[in-house]
Amino acid sequence: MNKKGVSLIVSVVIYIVLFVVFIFLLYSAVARPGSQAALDEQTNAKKIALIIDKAKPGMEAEIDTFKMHRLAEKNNFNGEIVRIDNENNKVNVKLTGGKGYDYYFFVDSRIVWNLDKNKRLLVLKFFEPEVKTRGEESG
Amino acid sequence: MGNVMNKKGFARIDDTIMSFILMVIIFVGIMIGVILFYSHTVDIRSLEAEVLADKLIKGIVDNGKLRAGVLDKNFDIFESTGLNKKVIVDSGEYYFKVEIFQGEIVRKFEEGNRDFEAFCFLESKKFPKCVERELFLSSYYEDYKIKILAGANQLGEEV
Repeated sequence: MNKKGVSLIVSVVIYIVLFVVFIFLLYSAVARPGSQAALDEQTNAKKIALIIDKAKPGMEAEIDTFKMHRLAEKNNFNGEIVRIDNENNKVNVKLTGGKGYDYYFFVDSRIVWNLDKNKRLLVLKFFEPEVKTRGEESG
Repeated sequence: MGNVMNKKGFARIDDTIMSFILMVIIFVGIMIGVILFYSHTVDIRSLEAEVLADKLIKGIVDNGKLRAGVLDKNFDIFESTGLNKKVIVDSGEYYFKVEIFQGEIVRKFEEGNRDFEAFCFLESKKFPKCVERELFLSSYYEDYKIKILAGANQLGEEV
């Protein structure tokens, strides 16, 4: 081997490894923004937050999640697609791998929520904040 | 691109490094293209400002009259409207101002990011979206004029 070169096999191996890493990084970086899931996560998180903001204590809302479930299934995601965090006033929608999309609501209601996977419905019940008890959320 | 073999059967390491640099340039180029093409923000700030103004009205007006205790010093507008103080005040993404006039101003509530008042109706994607409401409450005993300014600037994360 001369001073300026490496053996052909080492060079080819390095090149192939770099190329595989490059393709993997490119795919993982482009797959999420390039899918419909990211936009749907955002749209649904904002829609749910707006429904929560608009609702009054005593109300109950049912949101059709058929499209969200179908998209999650398409993306091989079997986890919880919607989470509502009463403590931090946050809605999280996740239709694919990753952290999902967070959006904050500004009302002080206590929300008891249930994601019915069979009926593909998200049921939200709104209560006065002062009757807040922990661990009543379900999903 | 790649392994230019010299006459003795060796490849120059410079070529592999150049290939790597080329990959990085292609990666950055594709990422910029994808982000520009697919990045969308669903803007609901105007709707949020409307909801906020509605909540404020319901919190201070009851059956066409000023709610009892609104003019008291210790009246809690957050409790009365059901708004979350932590989100409104600490997030810096919301603002509201309620002024109650009886000839002259008799009560004022102002919470949230006070910069919004200046930026409210300026045209820019980064500036908050606001709504203004004006109400007149009139009865045999008292007349009140209520001015409400509510703004929201929560855009959320860009996809």
